[in-house]
Amino acid sequence: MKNATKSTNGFKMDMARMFDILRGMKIVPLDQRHKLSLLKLKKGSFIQMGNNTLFIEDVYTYRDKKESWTEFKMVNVETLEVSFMEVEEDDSIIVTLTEKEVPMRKLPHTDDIEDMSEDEDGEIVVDSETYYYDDDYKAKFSREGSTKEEKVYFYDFKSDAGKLLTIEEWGNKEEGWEYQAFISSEIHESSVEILSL
Amino acid sequence: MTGIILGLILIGGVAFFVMKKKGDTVMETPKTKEEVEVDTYKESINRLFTINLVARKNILEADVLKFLEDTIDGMRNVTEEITKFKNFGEQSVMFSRIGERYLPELIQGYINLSQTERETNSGKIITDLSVLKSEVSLIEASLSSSATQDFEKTGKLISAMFKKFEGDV
Repeated sequence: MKNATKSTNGFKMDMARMFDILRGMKIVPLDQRHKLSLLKLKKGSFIQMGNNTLFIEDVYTYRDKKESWTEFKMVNVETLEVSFMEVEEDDSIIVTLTEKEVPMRKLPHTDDIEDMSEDEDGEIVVDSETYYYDDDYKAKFSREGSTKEEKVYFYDFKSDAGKLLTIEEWGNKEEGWEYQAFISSEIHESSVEILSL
Repeated sequence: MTGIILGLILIGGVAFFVMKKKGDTVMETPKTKEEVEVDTYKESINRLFTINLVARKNILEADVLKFLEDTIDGMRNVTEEITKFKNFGEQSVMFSRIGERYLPELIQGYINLSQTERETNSGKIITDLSVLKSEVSLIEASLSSSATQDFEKTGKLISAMFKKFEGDV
């Protein structure tokens, strides 16, 4: 019974959070949703992707010299699973959905990744899929509601299937570097429905 | 000789699968009463969450949502306790019916209406939700008294009220 109690307590906390999140949803009438742009999403918005109802828990902005793009931290209201989506306005709106995080141990040494960026050439194999060097660039990162900015360096690799492997380099020389890598893929803007802004 | 060897292998094989099957059966320990209660509790809360999610995604009228969510919150407060009273009479059956039948049917029925029909019927759904909420409050009050006898008595009262409600639906 001790285990059952423990699991019930965890369940209760999760459910309380799920109900709390849900009660923040103020639905936009169906006939007005098509007028809404993903660029208007903010902390507290809700979207629908397939069968998943997602709550925007946090909003991050990245800026480089030429452009800026937004990343949304999303929480599935039914499972509390966290995922990320990037939205960028170019000629059209580009939406990229993070599929999974890749452990750094699965990737070549960071010195080798830097060599690839210097050569502007190289490939990395992750889970039998080959990703080819595409681009590298620096950007400034900030959270919605905060003026604090952090520097981040990106190394982008693309597979023939159009999937993206992004390696992010955070930190600085003095305090040390931290790396994170993600696989993501582009989705069509129309596959995201705004439920609540 | 070959026949004997083949026979022994065959018997050994059959024995192995019989033992394995027996072992598999032994592995399936029946759930304890507490585990069943926990499962029932989780199912009930998940069901309430789904009703709330469907409502939030489809109902714009703030007053309807408020009455629904007050009812849901009332039910969330007593679900764990009522699960333990599962075998204690018809009031727990009534409680299950609210979550499993009345509430989902009421909400789905309302969602299926056109906007004009909703405007005409919002008063009715609020009245129906108020009835359900009162029932939940009665159950909550009975549970807090912790007297099973009183609980049973209230069950009879609720039962009578529900007959009226079922007639309305």
